[in-house]
Amino acid sequence: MDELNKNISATEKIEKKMPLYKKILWGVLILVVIFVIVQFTNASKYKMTVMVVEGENVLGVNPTTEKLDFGDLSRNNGMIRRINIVNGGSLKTRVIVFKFGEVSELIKLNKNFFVLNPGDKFELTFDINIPASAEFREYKGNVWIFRLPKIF
Amino acid sequence: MKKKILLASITLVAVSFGIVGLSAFEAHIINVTAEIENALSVNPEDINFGTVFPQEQLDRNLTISLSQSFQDEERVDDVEYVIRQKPKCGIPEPGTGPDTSSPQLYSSYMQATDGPNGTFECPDGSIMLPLLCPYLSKHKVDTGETIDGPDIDAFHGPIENWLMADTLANQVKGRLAKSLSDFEDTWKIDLKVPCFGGYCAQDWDDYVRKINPEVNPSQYIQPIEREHDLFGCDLWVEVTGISYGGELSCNESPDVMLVLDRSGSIGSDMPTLKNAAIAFVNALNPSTLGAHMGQSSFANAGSLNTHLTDATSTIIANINALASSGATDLEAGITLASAELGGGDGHDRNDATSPDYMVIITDGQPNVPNQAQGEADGLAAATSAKNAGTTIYVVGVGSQVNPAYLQQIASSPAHYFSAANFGDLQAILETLVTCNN
Repeated sequence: MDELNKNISATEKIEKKMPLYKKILWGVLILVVIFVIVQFTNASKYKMTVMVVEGENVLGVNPTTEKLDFGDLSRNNGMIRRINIVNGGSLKTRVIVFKFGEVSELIKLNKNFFVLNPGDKFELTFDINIPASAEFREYKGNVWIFRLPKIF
Repeated sequence: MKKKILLASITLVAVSFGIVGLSAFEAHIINVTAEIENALSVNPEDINFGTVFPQEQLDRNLTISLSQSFQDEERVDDVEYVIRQKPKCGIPEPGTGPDTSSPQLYSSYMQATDGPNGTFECPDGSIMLPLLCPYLSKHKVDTGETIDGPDIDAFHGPIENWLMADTLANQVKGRLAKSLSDFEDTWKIDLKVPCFGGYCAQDWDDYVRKINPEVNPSQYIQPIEREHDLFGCDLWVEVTGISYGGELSCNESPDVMLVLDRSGSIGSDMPTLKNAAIAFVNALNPSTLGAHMGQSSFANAGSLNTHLTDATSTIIANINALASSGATDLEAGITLASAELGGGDGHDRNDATSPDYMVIITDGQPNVPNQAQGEADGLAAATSAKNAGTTIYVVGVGSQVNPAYLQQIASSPAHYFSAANFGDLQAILETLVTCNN
């Protein structure tokens, strides 16, 4: 009886053993997860903010570089801030720029997807325009810049 | 069960190492960096002068201020900016313009872009409006602060083919400084309306010369065909630099270049100068994550004695090795320090987190190759460094210095210090590293 039970248990183990294709799929999945985590971790993430204020032609500037602060602007005014992107490595790199949040609707970006060759520079320009219908308050948002090696 | 736990642990370790390894690969092989510029451009709301008549004069105000968020930040102090003029582009409205009975009208406006050879170009589908720029003056209304550049009168630059060189030649400079309670500048933008060919008043010449005696009035008469046209000019406020507070030590990790005069006039005061410089180094306390320091010096020529480093002993040893002799080539000392802070040889750190400073100590006036040229060269080198974002402090020692000149070398008059003699130097240098925030 014991012998029979051992044989049944061995058969179950063989049946439960993961097939090779599943192992490969799991490996690929893990690699993809690692890649995605690294891209999110290494992406340059900046906050964007603008304070829409009352008055005519109010241009309050904040040129500090920790975030894209468009300062205090009254309606119908605009401002351009820039981010310099430099490829100091040895691989061609795809750069993908995502902007989101309510302030992003007021901002035009000159390019949001491009390839940067080794040694090349590119100036991203963020052109904000405050419409006449904007409310007097702070608008916030974010911009994330992803860098992916251009393999193909 | 044990096997499953082991497998999960191995997977977790593999993922962790994978993340670290891929991050390192990306940092060293891909190495694409993104940095926000501290320069920015502001395109103000339309200043509409409406329908105007020849030789009419109209004023509009433009106010530039520090935003509330900038005022709330303790570590930053002043903002330097320029107001520039550029041609204006517009999208022509169908049914208007030269081939119709209607003057040219525009459905919307666009910004001119930089073209080849310093020209301006309009985006596709738009055309350049006749130039209003030469007829706009820019005068600062409030005069609370003294270092703003000169104002610009109307009747400047060409009335056609406006180039980037004209934009730069006719820009005005301004500065806002929290430390001087100068939070806002108001500029009067004043339009002097031109007259049109054959219909100018008899006093046109006097009218123009009264405003700008340097120009030929006939050059500012517009062709009669443009009499009913819409003229335009884009005004851009461009921030060219900011300074990070009055005291060096309020920044956690500044890059500081000490620029020391070692000309013959220092003579027997050299040991006192060295002691003060060494005390400054010790007070700033360079460290890997803190301040980094370097040092250049000047006499008949300049020398870069120490690259930016956190090795205090190296900095002090190189200061102790200095010897006094020769003339005063201030420009050479500034240029070498500026190049080091410019990051060309890789010792300068990211300016966003490690802002650049230069501390110049001198007891005389530049005289290489002669005083006039030496002063001009020194000022040009300092201006270039400041434009690159470096904050310059200057300490003038003794009675042979020209304080007005050295204030121009410094980032502002507030960045200039006067020491009666070398004995006073150490106390002044130590105030630079005392953070009061």
